[in-house]
Amino acid sequence: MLVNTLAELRDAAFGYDDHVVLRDVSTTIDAGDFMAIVGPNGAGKSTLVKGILGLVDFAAGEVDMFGVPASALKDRWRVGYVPQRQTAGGPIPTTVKELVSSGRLARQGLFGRNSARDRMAVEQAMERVGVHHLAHTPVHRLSGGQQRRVLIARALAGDAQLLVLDEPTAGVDVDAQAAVVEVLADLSADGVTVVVVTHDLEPFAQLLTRVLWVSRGRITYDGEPTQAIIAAASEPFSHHDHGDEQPRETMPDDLRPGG
Amino acid sequence: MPLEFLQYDFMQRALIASILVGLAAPSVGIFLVQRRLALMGDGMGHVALTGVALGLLLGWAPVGVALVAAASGAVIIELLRSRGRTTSDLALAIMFYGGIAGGVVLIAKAPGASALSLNQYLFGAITTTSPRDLAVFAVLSAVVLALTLGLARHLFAVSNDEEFATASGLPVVQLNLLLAVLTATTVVVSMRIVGLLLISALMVVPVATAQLFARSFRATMAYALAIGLGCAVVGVSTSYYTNTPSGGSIVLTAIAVFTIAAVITAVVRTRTKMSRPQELRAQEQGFSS
Repeated sequence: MLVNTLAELRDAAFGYDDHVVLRDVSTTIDAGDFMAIVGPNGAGKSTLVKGILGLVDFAAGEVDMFGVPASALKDRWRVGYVPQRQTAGGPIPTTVKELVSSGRLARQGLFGRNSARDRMAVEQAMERVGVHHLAHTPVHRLSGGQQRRVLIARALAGDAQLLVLDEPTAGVDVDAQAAVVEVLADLSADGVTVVVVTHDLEPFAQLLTRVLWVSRGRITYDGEPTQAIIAAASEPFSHHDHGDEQPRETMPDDLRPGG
Repeated sequence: MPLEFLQYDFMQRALIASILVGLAAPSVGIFLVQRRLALMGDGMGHVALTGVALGLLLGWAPVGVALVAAASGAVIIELLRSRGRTTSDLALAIMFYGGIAGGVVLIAKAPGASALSLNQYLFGAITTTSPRDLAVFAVLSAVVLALTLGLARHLFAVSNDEEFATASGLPVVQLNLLLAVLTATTVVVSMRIVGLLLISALMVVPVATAQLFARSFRATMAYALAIGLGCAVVGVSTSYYTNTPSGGSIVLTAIAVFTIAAVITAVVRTRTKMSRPQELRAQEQGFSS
Protein backbone atom coordinates (compact mmCIF):
# COMPACT_ATOMS: atom_id res chain seq x y z
CA MET A 1 0.00 0.00 0.00
CA LEU A 2 1.32 3.46 -0.87
CA VAL A 3 1.83 5.49 2.30
CA ASN A 4 1.34 9.21 1.89
CA THR A 5 3.76 10.89 4.30
CA LEU A 6 2.61 14.36 5.44
CA ALA A 7 5.56 15.09 7.71
CA GLU A 8 8.97 13.52 8.05
CA LEU A 9 11.54 14.37 10.71
CA ARG A 10 15.13 13.16 10.41
CA ASP A 11 17.42 13.57 13.45
CA ALA A 12 15.65 16.83 14.19
CA ALA A 13 16.35 18.98 17.26
CA PHE A 14 14.21 21.88 18.47
CA GLY A 15 14.55 24.50 21.17
CA TYR A 16 14.40 28.14 22.15
CA ASP A 17 17.34 30.45 21.45
CA ASP A 18 20.44 28.39 22.33
CA HIS A 19 18.60 25.88 24.54
CA VAL A 20 17.81 22.55 22.86
CA VAL A 21 14.63 21.01 24.35
CA LEU A 22 14.19 18.02 22.07
CA ARG A 23 16.83 16.10 20.09
CA ASP A 24 17.32 13.08 17.79
CA VAL A 25 13.73 13.09 16.59
CA SER A 26 13.17 10.77 13.63
CA THR A 27 9.58 9.90 12.78
CA THR A 28 6.85 10.38 10.21
CA ILE A 29 3.23 11.48 10.26
CA ASP A 30 1.34 9.53 7.62
CA ALA A 31 -1.99 10.38 6.00
CA GLY A 32 -4.84 8.88 8.01
CA ASP A 33 -2.85 8.64 11.25
CA PHE A 34 -4.49 9.47 14.55
CA MET A 35 -1.39 10.05 16.59
CA ALA A 36 -1.02 10.94 20.25
CA ILE A 37 2.11 12.53 21.66
CA VAL A 38 2.35 11.73 25.36
CA GLY A 39 4.82 12.25 28.16
CA PRO A 40 5.23 14.05 31.47
CA ASN A 41 5.02 17.83 31.82
CA GLY A 42 8.16 19.51 30.52
CA ALA A 43 9.25 16.47 28.49
CA GLY A 44 9.07 18.36 25.19
CA LYS A 45 5.66 17.32 23.78
CA SER A 46 4.52 20.84 22.91
CA THR A 47 8.00 21.71 21.64
CA LEU A 48 7.77 18.77 19.22
CA VAL A 49 4.51 19.97 17.65
CA LYS A 50 5.66 23.57 17.66
CA GLY A 51 8.80 22.40 15.89
CA ILE A 52 6.70 20.68 13.23
CA LEU A 53 4.63 23.88 12.89
CA GLY A 54 7.73 26.08 12.60
CA LEU A 55 6.95 27.95 15.83
CA VAL A 56 10.20 27.14 17.64
CA ASP A 57 13.82 27.27 16.51
CA PHE A 58 15.00 24.35 14.46
CA ALA A 59 18.44 23.44 15.80
CA ALA A 60 19.53 20.41 13.76
CA GLY A 61 18.42 17.71 11.34
CA GLU A 62 15.70 18.00 8.71
CA VAL A 63 11.92 18.40 8.71
CA ASP A 64 9.90 17.88 5.54
CA MET A 65 6.25 18.88 5.32
CA PHE A 66 4.15 17.63 2.42
CA GLY A 67 7.31 16.56 0.62
CA VAL A 68 9.21 19.87 0.86
CA PRO A 69 11.54 21.26 3.55
CA ALA A 70 9.32 22.78 6.27
CA SER A 71 10.94 26.22 5.90
CA ALA A 72 10.02 26.27 2.21
CA LEU A 73 6.38 25.23 2.71
CA LYS A 74 4.24 27.96 1.19
CA ASP A 75 0.74 26.65 1.91
CA ARG A 76 1.05 26.36 5.67
CA TRP A 77 -2.76 26.35 6.01
CA ARG A 78 -2.60 22.65 5.06
CA VAL A 79 -1.71 22.15 8.72
CA GLY A 80 -4.48 23.24 11.13
CA TYR A 81 -3.15 24.16 14.57
CA VAL A 82 -5.30 24.17 17.70
CA PRO A 83 -3.20 25.76 20.45
CA GLN A 84 -3.85 25.24 24.13
CA ARG A 85 -5.93 28.22 25.23
CA GLN A 86 -8.04 28.91 28.30
CA THR A 87 -10.23 31.24 26.24
CA ALA A 88 -10.59 31.51 22.48
CA GLY A 89 -10.99 35.28 22.22
CA GLY A 90 -9.18 38.38 23.52
CA PRO A 91 -10.36 41.50 25.34
CA ILE A 92 -12.53 42.73 22.43
CA PRO A 93 -15.88 40.94 21.87
CA THR A 94 -15.52 38.55 18.94
CA THR A 95 -18.18 36.34 17.38
CA VAL A 96 -17.65 32.66 16.67
CA LYS A 97 -17.82 33.38 12.94
CA GLU A 98 -15.23 36.17 13.13
CA LEU A 99 -12.84 33.89 14.99
CA VAL A 100 -13.34 30.91 12.67
CA SER A 101 -12.96 33.19 9.62
CA SER A 102 -9.50 34.19 10.83
CA GLY A 103 -8.44 30.61 10.08
CA ARG A 104 -9.20 31.15 6.39
CA LEU A 105 -7.17 34.35 5.93
CA ALA A 106 -3.80 32.77 5.09
CA ARG A 107 -5.41 31.17 2.03
CA GLN A 108 -6.82 34.49 0.85
CA GLY A 109 -3.60 36.50 0.84
CA LEU A 110 -3.25 40.04 2.15
CA PHE A 111 -5.56 41.80 -0.25
CA GLY A 112 -7.62 38.82 -1.40
CA ARG A 113 -11.40 39.01 -1.49
CA ASN A 114 -13.57 37.05 0.91
CA SER A 115 -15.12 34.92 -1.83
CA ALA A 116 -18.27 32.79 -1.69
CA ARG A 117 -16.02 29.74 -1.46
CA ASP A 118 -14.22 31.20 1.56
CA ARG A 119 -17.52 31.94 3.30
CA MET A 120 -18.72 28.43 2.52
CA ALA A 121 -15.53 26.92 4.00
CA VAL A 122 -16.07 28.89 7.23
CA GLU A 123 -19.72 27.75 7.43
CA GLN A 124 -18.68 24.14 6.85
CA ALA A 125 -15.92 24.34 9.48
CA MET A 126 -18.47 25.57 12.04
CA GLU A 127 -20.91 22.83 11.04
CA ARG A 128 -18.30 20.08 11.31
CA VAL A 129 -17.66 20.87 14.99
CA GLY A 130 -21.30 21.67 15.82
CA VAL A 131 -21.03 25.41 16.56
CA HIS A 132 -22.87 26.61 13.47
CA HIS A 133 -25.90 27.74 15.49
CA LEU A 134 -23.58 29.92 17.63
CA ALA A 135 -22.04 31.79 14.65
CA HIS A 136 -23.08 35.24 15.88
CA THR A 137 -22.53 34.62 19.58
CA PRO A 138 -19.52 36.30 21.23
CA VAL A 139 -16.98 33.57 22.04
CA HIS A 140 -16.52 34.76 25.63
CA ARG A 141 -20.13 33.75 26.35
CA LEU A 142 -19.47 30.11 25.39
CA SER A 143 -18.53 27.25 27.71
CA GLY A 144 -14.95 25.98 27.79
CA GLY A 145 -15.86 22.95 25.68
CA GLN A 146 -17.63 25.07 23.05
CA GLN A 147 -14.61 27.38 22.86
CA ARG A 148 -12.36 24.35 22.20
CA ARG A 149 -14.61 23.35 19.32
CA VAL A 150 -14.50 26.90 17.95
CA LEU A 151 -10.69 26.70 17.94
CA ILE A 152 -10.90 23.40 16.05
CA ALA A 153 -13.25 25.04 13.52
CA ARG A 154 -10.74 27.88 13.06
CA ALA A 155 -8.00 25.33 12.30
CA LEU A 156 -10.30 23.57 9.80
CA ALA A 157 -11.40 26.74 8.00
CA GLY A 158 -8.36 26.64 5.71
CA ASP A 159 -9.25 23.06 4.64
CA ALA A 160 -6.42 21.60 6.72
CA GLN A 161 -5.32 18.05 5.88
CA LEU A 162 -3.34 17.67 9.09
CA LEU A 163 -4.83 18.81 12.39
CA VAL A 164 -2.43 19.35 15.31
CA LEU A 165 -4.03 19.87 18.72
CA ASP A 166 -2.23 20.80 21.95
CA GLU A 167 -4.04 19.33 24.97
CA PRO A 168 -7.54 19.62 23.45
CA THR A 169 -9.27 17.94 26.41
CA ALA A 170 -7.35 19.54 29.29
CA GLY A 171 -9.32 21.74 31.66
CA VAL A 172 -12.84 20.97 30.40
CA ASP A 173 -15.52 18.81 32.01
CA VAL A 174 -16.21 15.20 31.05
CA ASP A 175 -19.14 16.01 28.72
CA ALA A 176 -17.16 18.68 26.88
CA GLN A 177 -14.22 16.27 26.63
CA ALA A 178 -16.50 13.65 25.06
CA ALA A 179 -17.83 16.24 22.58
CA VAL A 180 -14.29 17.20 21.50
CA VAL A 181 -13.32 13.53 21.08
CA GLU A 182 -16.48 12.90 19.02
CA VAL A 183 -15.61 15.81 16.73
CA LEU A 184 -12.08 14.43 16.27
CA ALA A 185 -13.48 10.94 15.56
CA ASP A 186 -15.72 12.38 12.81
CA LEU A 187 -12.85 14.35 11.30
CA SER A 188 -10.59 11.30 11.36
CA ALA A 189 -13.32 9.25 9.67
CA ASP A 190 -13.50 12.00 7.01
CA GLY A 191 -9.80 11.46 6.25
CA VAL A 192 -8.24 14.27 8.29
CA THR A 193 -4.92 13.24 9.85
CA VAL A 194 -4.94 14.08 13.57
CA VAL A 195 -2.06 14.64 16.00
CA VAL A 196 -2.96 15.32 19.64
CA VAL A 197 -0.59 16.30 22.40
CA THR A 198 -2.08 14.95 25.61
CA HIS A 199 -1.20 13.87 29.12
CA ASP A 200 -4.09 11.37 29.13
CA LEU A 201 -4.54 8.80 26.34
CA GLU A 202 -7.69 7.24 27.70
CA PRO A 203 -10.28 9.53 25.99
CA PHE A 204 -8.65 8.82 22.60
CA ALA A 205 -8.00 5.11 23.12
CA GLN A 206 -10.49 3.88 20.49
CA LEU A 207 -9.24 6.29 17.82
CA LEU A 208 -5.47 6.01 18.06
CA THR A 209 -3.31 4.44 15.38
CA ARG A 210 0.06 5.66 16.72
CA VAL A 211 1.61 6.81 19.97
CA LEU A 212 4.79 8.84 20.42
CA TRP A 213 6.16 8.87 23.96
CA VAL A 214 8.41 11.82 24.74
CA SER A 215 10.53 11.99 27.84
CA ARG A 216 13.59 14.01 28.79
CA GLY A 217 13.72 15.59 25.38
CA ARG A 218 13.75 12.38 23.34
CA ILE A 219 11.24 10.04 21.77
CA THR A 220 11.28 6.83 23.77
CA TYR A 221 8.40 5.00 22.07
CA ASP A 222 7.00 5.30 18.57
CA GLY A 223 4.50 2.64 17.62
CA GLU A 224 1.06 1.15 17.99
CA PRO A 225 -1.21 1.99 20.89
CA THR A 226 -0.91 -1.27 22.79
CA GLN A 227 -3.00 -1.88 25.91
CA ALA A 228 0.10 -1.49 28.05
CA ILE A 229 0.97 1.89 26.51
CA ILE A 230 -2.55 3.22 26.94
CA ALA A 231 -2.67 2.05 30.54
CA ALA A 232 0.74 3.59 31.25
CA ALA A 233 -0.26 6.96 29.77
CA SER A 234 -3.77 7.12 31.17
CA GLU A 235 -2.88 7.83 34.78
CA PRO A 236 -2.48 11.53 35.46
CA PHE A 237 1.15 12.38 34.90
CA SER A 238 0.80 15.21 37.37
CA HIS A 239 0.98 12.65 40.22
CA HIS A 240 4.61 12.27 39.35
CA ASP A 241 5.41 15.92 38.90
CA HIS A 242 5.90 17.12 42.42
CA GLY A 243 6.86 16.03 45.89
CA ASP A 244 9.77 13.72 46.53
CA GLU A 245 8.74 11.20 43.91
CA GLN A 246 10.87 10.94 40.80
CA PRO A 247 8.88 11.79 37.69
CA ARG A 248 8.17 8.86 35.41
CA GLU A 249 10.57 10.11 32.79
CA THR A 250 11.08 7.05 30.67
CA MET A 251 9.07 4.16 29.36
CA PRO A 252 9.23 0.99 31.39
CA ASP A 253 11.64 -1.39 29.59
CA ASP A 254 8.99 -4.03 29.00
CA LEU A 255 6.95 -1.54 26.97
CA ARG A 256 9.75 -0.61 24.61
CA PRO A 257 9.39 -1.90 21.09
CA GLY A 258 11.32 -5.16 20.99
CA GLY A 259 11.92 -4.85 24.74
CA MET B 1 -24.42 81.28 17.63
CA PRO B 2 -23.45 77.77 18.69
CA LEU B 3 -20.94 77.28 15.86
CA GLU B 4 -19.43 80.78 16.00
CA PHE B 5 -15.96 79.31 16.54
CA LEU B 6 -16.00 78.10 12.95
CA GLN B 7 -15.55 81.68 11.71
CA TYR B 8 -11.91 81.42 12.82
CA ASP B 9 -9.54 79.69 10.41
CA PHE B 10 -7.52 78.10 13.19
CA MET B 11 -10.69 76.61 14.70
CA GLN B 12 -11.76 75.23 11.32
CA ARG B 13 -8.37 73.57 11.04
CA ALA B 14 -8.61 72.32 14.61
CA LEU B 15 -12.01 70.80 13.92
CA ILE B 16 -10.85 69.03 10.76
CA ALA B 17 -7.73 67.78 12.55
CA SER B 18 -9.86 66.52 15.44
CA ILE B 19 -12.10 64.60 13.04
CA LEU B 20 -9.01 62.93 11.52
CA VAL B 21 -7.56 62.09 14.94
CA GLY B 22 -10.91 60.95 16.33
CA LEU B 23 -11.18 58.36 13.56
CA ALA B 24 -7.53 57.30 13.22
CA ALA B 25 -6.71 56.82 16.93
CA PRO B 26 -9.34 54.15 17.79
CA SER B 27 -8.82 52.41 14.43
CA VAL B 28 -5.27 51.61 15.57
CA GLY B 29 -6.10 51.39 19.27
CA ILE B 30 -8.52 48.48 18.87
CA PHE B 31 -5.68 46.20 17.74
CA LEU B 32 -3.38 47.40 20.53
CA VAL B 33 -6.10 46.62 23.09
CA GLN B 34 -6.64 43.18 21.53
CA ARG B 35 -2.88 42.52 21.77
CA ARG B 36 -2.93 43.71 25.39
CA LEU B 37 -0.49 46.48 24.46
CA ALA B 38 -2.81 49.35 25.35
CA LEU B 39 0.10 51.47 26.57
CA MET B 40 2.04 51.15 23.30
CA GLY B 41 0.75 54.56 22.17
CA ASP B 42 2.22 56.14 25.30
CA GLY B 43 5.65 54.71 24.55
CA MET B 44 5.48 56.02 20.98
CA GLY B 45 4.42 59.45 22.27
CA HIS B 46 7.48 59.62 24.48
CA VAL B 47 9.82 58.69 21.63
CA ALA B 48 8.10 61.21 19.34
CA LEU B 49 8.98 63.91 21.89
CA THR B 50 12.67 63.24 21.28
CA GLY B 51 11.94 63.64 17.56
CA VAL B 52 10.12 66.96 18.11
CA ALA B 53 13.00 68.27 20.23
CA LEU B 54 15.55 67.13 17.67
CA GLY B 55 13.56 68.92 14.97
CA LEU B 56 13.50 72.16 17.01
CA LEU B 57 17.23 71.84 17.76
CA LEU B 58 18.21 71.31 14.12
CA GLY B 59 15.65 73.74 12.73
CA TRP B 60 13.88 70.97 10.78
CA ALA B 61 10.12 70.36 10.70
CA PRO B 62 9.33 68.84 14.13
CA VAL B 63 6.42 66.80 12.69
CA GLY B 64 8.66 65.07 10.14
CA VAL B 65 11.45 64.33 12.61
CA ALA B 66 8.91 63.12 15.20
CA LEU B 67 7.41 60.77 12.61
CA VAL B 68 10.82 59.30 11.75
CA ALA B 69 11.75 58.96 15.45
CA ALA B 70 8.46 57.37 16.49
CA ALA B 71 8.38 55.00 13.51
CA SER B 72 12.00 53.94 14.14
CA GLY B 73 11.21 53.40 17.82
CA ALA B 74 8.14 51.38 16.82
CA VAL B 75 10.13 49.11 14.52
CA ILE B 76 12.91 48.58 17.09
CA ILE B 77 10.46 47.73 19.87
CA GLU B 78 8.55 45.31 17.65
CA LEU B 79 11.73 43.54 16.57
CA LEU B 80 12.91 43.25 20.17
CA ARG B 81 9.51 41.90 21.21
CA SER B 82 9.18 39.40 18.36
CA ARG B 83 12.68 38.00 18.95
CA GLY B 84 11.83 37.55 22.61
CA ARG B 85 15.03 39.32 23.64
CA THR B 86 13.17 41.39 26.18
CA THR B 87 9.65 41.43 27.51
CA SER B 88 7.18 43.88 26.03
CA ASP B 89 6.71 45.86 29.23
CA LEU B 90 10.44 46.28 29.82
CA ALA B 91 11.02 47.37 26.23
CA LEU B 92 8.15 49.85 26.54
CA ALA B 93 9.49 51.15 29.86
CA ILE B 94 12.90 51.84 28.33
CA MET B 95 11.17 53.72 25.49
CA PHE B 96 9.17 55.79 27.98
CA TYR B 97 12.18 56.97 29.92
CA GLY B 98 14.57 57.38 27.01
CA GLY B 99 12.02 59.28 24.92
CA ILE B 100 11.04 61.78 27.61
CA ALA B 101 14.60 62.26 28.85
CA GLY B 102 15.92 62.78 25.32
CA GLY B 103 13.12 65.23 24.56
CA VAL B 104 13.62 67.31 27.69
CA VAL B 105 17.41 67.47 27.30
CA LEU B 106 17.35 68.31 23.58
CA ILE B 107 14.61 70.92 23.88
CA ALA B 108 16.61 72.73 26.58
CA LYS B 109 19.39 73.17 24.02
CA ALA B 110 17.11 74.20 21.11
CA PRO B 111 17.37 77.87 20.12
CA GLY B 112 14.22 79.84 20.96
CA ALA B 113 12.46 76.83 22.46
CA SER B 114 11.02 77.02 25.96
CA ALA B 115 8.91 75.13 28.45
CA LEU B 116 5.93 76.49 26.54
CA SER B 117 6.96 74.74 23.31
CA LEU B 118 7.40 71.51 25.28
CA ASN B 119 3.91 71.90 26.73
CA GLN B 120 2.38 72.46 23.32
CA TYR B 121 3.55 69.08 22.14
CA LEU B 122 2.95 67.24 25.40
CA PHE B 123 -0.64 68.36 25.89
CA GLY B 124 -1.73 69.67 22.49
CA ALA B 125 -2.28 73.22 21.30
CA ILE B 126 -4.96 73.54 18.65
CA THR B 127 -4.09 77.09 17.69
CA THR B 128 -0.69 75.97 16.43
CA THR B 129 -2.02 73.71 13.65
CA SER B 130 -0.88 75.35 10.41
CA PRO B 131 -2.54 74.74 7.01
CA ARG B 132 0.57 72.80 5.99
CA ASP B 133 0.41 70.63 9.13
CA LEU B 134 -3.25 69.95 8.40
CA ALA B 135 -2.49 68.75 4.87
CA VAL B 136 0.20 66.39 6.18
CA PHE B 137 -2.14 65.12 8.93
CA ALA B 138 -4.94 64.53 6.41
CA VAL B 139 -2.72 62.40 4.17
CA LEU B 140 -1.27 60.43 7.09
CA SER B 141 -4.71 59.87 8.67
CA ALA B 142 -6.11 58.67 5.35
CA VAL B 143 -3.23 56.17 5.05
CA VAL B 144 -3.76 54.96 8.65
CA LEU B 145 -7.52 54.52 8.13
CA ALA B 146 -7.16 52.85 4.73
CA LEU B 147 -4.69 50.28 6.11
CA THR B 148 -6.42 49.57 9.44
CA LEU B 149 -9.83 49.16 7.80
CA GLY B 150 -8.51 47.40 4.67
CA LEU B 151 -6.41 44.92 6.66
CA ALA B 152 -8.75 44.75 9.67
CA ARG B 153 -9.30 40.98 9.40
CA HIS B 154 -5.57 40.27 9.15
CA LEU B 155 -4.62 42.65 11.95
CA PHE B 156 -7.37 41.06 14.06
CA ALA B 157 -6.07 37.54 13.41
CA VAL B 158 -2.52 38.49 14.39
CA SER B 159 -3.60 40.54 17.42
CA ASN B 160 -5.93 37.80 18.66
CA ASP B 161 -3.61 34.80 18.39
CA GLU B 162 -0.11 35.43 17.09
CA GLU B 163 0.95 31.79 17.44
CA PHE B 164 -1.98 30.48 15.40
CA ALA B 165 -1.51 33.23 12.80
CA THR B 166 2.17 32.25 12.40
CA ALA B 167 1.33 28.55 12.09
CA SER B 168 -1.33 29.25 9.46
CA GLY B 169 1.16 31.16 7.33
CA LEU B 170 0.09 34.78 7.76
CA PRO B 171 2.95 37.33 7.46
CA VAL B 172 2.88 37.99 11.22
CA VAL B 173 6.16 39.91 11.51
CA GLN B 174 5.22 42.26 8.67
CA LEU B 175 1.70 42.84 10.05
CA ASN B 176 3.05 43.56 13.54
CA LEU B 177 5.61 45.99 12.10
CA LEU B 178 2.86 47.66 10.10
CA LEU B 179 0.71 48.08 13.21
CA ALA B 180 3.68 49.51 15.11
CA VAL B 181 4.38 52.07 12.36
CA LEU B 182 0.67 52.96 12.10
CA THR B 183 0.65 53.54 15.86
CA ALA B 184 3.66 55.84 15.55
CA THR B 185 2.02 57.71 12.67
CA THR B 186 -1.21 58.20 14.63
CA VAL B 187 0.73 59.53 17.59
CA VAL B 188 2.42 62.15 15.42
CA VAL B 189 -0.82 63.11 13.65
CA SER B 190 -2.47 63.59 17.03
CA MET B 191 0.22 65.50 18.88
CA ARG B 192 -1.03 68.99 17.94
CA ILE B 193 -4.60 68.27 18.99
CA VAL B 194 -4.43 65.79 21.85
CA GLY B 195 -0.77 65.98 22.82
CA LEU B 196 1.85 63.27 23.11
CA LEU B 197 1.01 62.44 26.72
CA LEU B 198 -2.71 62.01 26.09
CA ILE B 199 -2.92 60.44 22.64
CA SER B 200 -2.95 56.92 24.03
CA ALA B 201 -6.22 57.78 25.81
CA LEU B 202 -7.94 58.52 22.50
CA MET B 203 -6.64 55.21 21.12
CA VAL B 204 -7.88 53.20 24.07
CA VAL B 205 -10.89 54.87 25.78
CA PRO B 206 -13.31 54.82 22.78
CA VAL B 207 -12.45 51.11 22.29
CA ALA B 208 -12.98 50.43 26.01
CA THR B 209 -16.38 52.15 25.72
CA ALA B 210 -17.44 50.33 22.55
CA GLN B 211 -16.57 46.86 23.91
CA LEU B 212 -19.00 47.42 26.79
CA PHE B 213 -22.00 46.97 24.52
CA ALA B 214 -20.75 45.55 21.18
CA ARG B 215 -21.13 41.82 20.43
CA SER B 216 -18.58 41.52 17.63
CA PHE B 217 -15.12 42.81 16.72
CA ARG B 218 -16.54 44.54 13.66
CA ALA B 219 -19.22 46.34 15.69
CA THR B 220 -16.67 47.32 18.36
CA MET B 221 -14.53 48.93 15.65
CA ALA B 222 -17.48 50.83 14.13
CA TYR B 223 -18.69 52.10 17.53
CA ALA B 224 -15.15 53.00 18.64
CA LEU B 225 -14.60 55.12 15.51
CA ALA B 226 -17.95 56.87 16.02
CA ILE B 227 -17.21 57.51 19.71
CA GLY B 228 -13.67 58.71 18.94
CA LEU B 229 -14.98 61.09 16.29
CA GLY B 230 -17.76 62.41 18.56
CA CYS B 231 -15.48 62.92 21.54
CA ALA B 232 -12.80 64.69 19.46
CA VAL B 233 -15.32 67.12 17.91
CA VAL B 234 -17.16 67.78 21.20
CA GLY B 235 -13.85 68.11 23.07
CA VAL B 236 -12.39 70.66 20.63
CA SER B 237 -15.64 72.68 20.59
CA THR B 238 -15.80 72.63 24.39
CA SER B 239 -12.19 73.75 24.66
CA TYR B 240 -13.06 76.85 22.61
CA TYR B 241 -15.98 77.88 24.80
CA THR B 242 -14.42 76.99 28.14
CA ASN B 243 -10.96 78.22 27.16
CA THR B 244 -9.36 74.92 28.19
CA PRO B 245 -6.62 72.87 26.47
CA SER B 246 -7.98 70.75 23.61
CA GLY B 247 -6.20 67.50 24.54
CA GLY B 248 -7.48 67.40 28.10
CA SER B 249 -10.99 68.42 26.99
CA ILE B 250 -11.17 65.61 24.41
CA VAL B 251 -9.89 62.96 26.82
CA LEU B 252 -12.23 64.09 29.63
CA THR B 253 -15.15 63.92 27.18
CA ALA B 254 -14.11 60.38 26.20
CA ILE B 255 -13.84 59.31 29.84
CA ALA B 256 -17.27 60.87 30.61
CA VAL B 257 -18.79 58.88 27.71
CA PHE B 258 -17.10 55.72 29.00
CA THR B 259 -18.43 56.28 32.51
CA ILE B 260 -22.00 56.86 31.29
CA ALA B 261 -21.83 53.77 29.05
CA ALA B 262 -20.39 51.65 31.89
CA VAL B 263 -23.19 52.71 34.26
CA ILE B 264 -25.93 52.10 31.67
CA THR B 265 -24.61 48.65 30.68
CA ALA B 266 -24.22 47.67 34.36
CA VAL B 267 -27.84 48.71 35.07
CA VAL B 268 -29.14 46.87 31.99
CA ARG B 269 -27.22 43.71 32.92
CA THR B 270 -28.48 43.79 36.51
CA ARG B 271 -32.08 44.18 35.31
CA THR B 272 -31.67 41.34 32.81
CA LYS B 273 -30.28 39.09 35.56
CA MET B 274 -33.12 40.03 37.93
CA SER B 275 -35.84 39.42 35.37
CA ARG B 276 -34.44 36.07 34.20
CA PRO B 277 -35.42 33.96 37.25
CA GLN B 278 -39.03 35.21 36.91
CA GLU B 279 -39.12 34.09 33.29
CA LEU B 280 -37.64 30.74 34.22
CA ARG B 281 -40.17 30.29 37.03
CA ALA B 282 -42.98 31.18 34.65
CA GLN B 283 -41.68 28.63 32.12
CA GLU B 284 -41.44 25.92 34.77
CA GLN B 285 -45.04 26.55 35.82
CA GLY B 286 -46.21 26.40 32.22
CA PHE B 287 -47.33 30.06 32.13
CA SER B 288 -45.07 30.89 29.27
CA SER B 289 -44.80 29.33 25.87
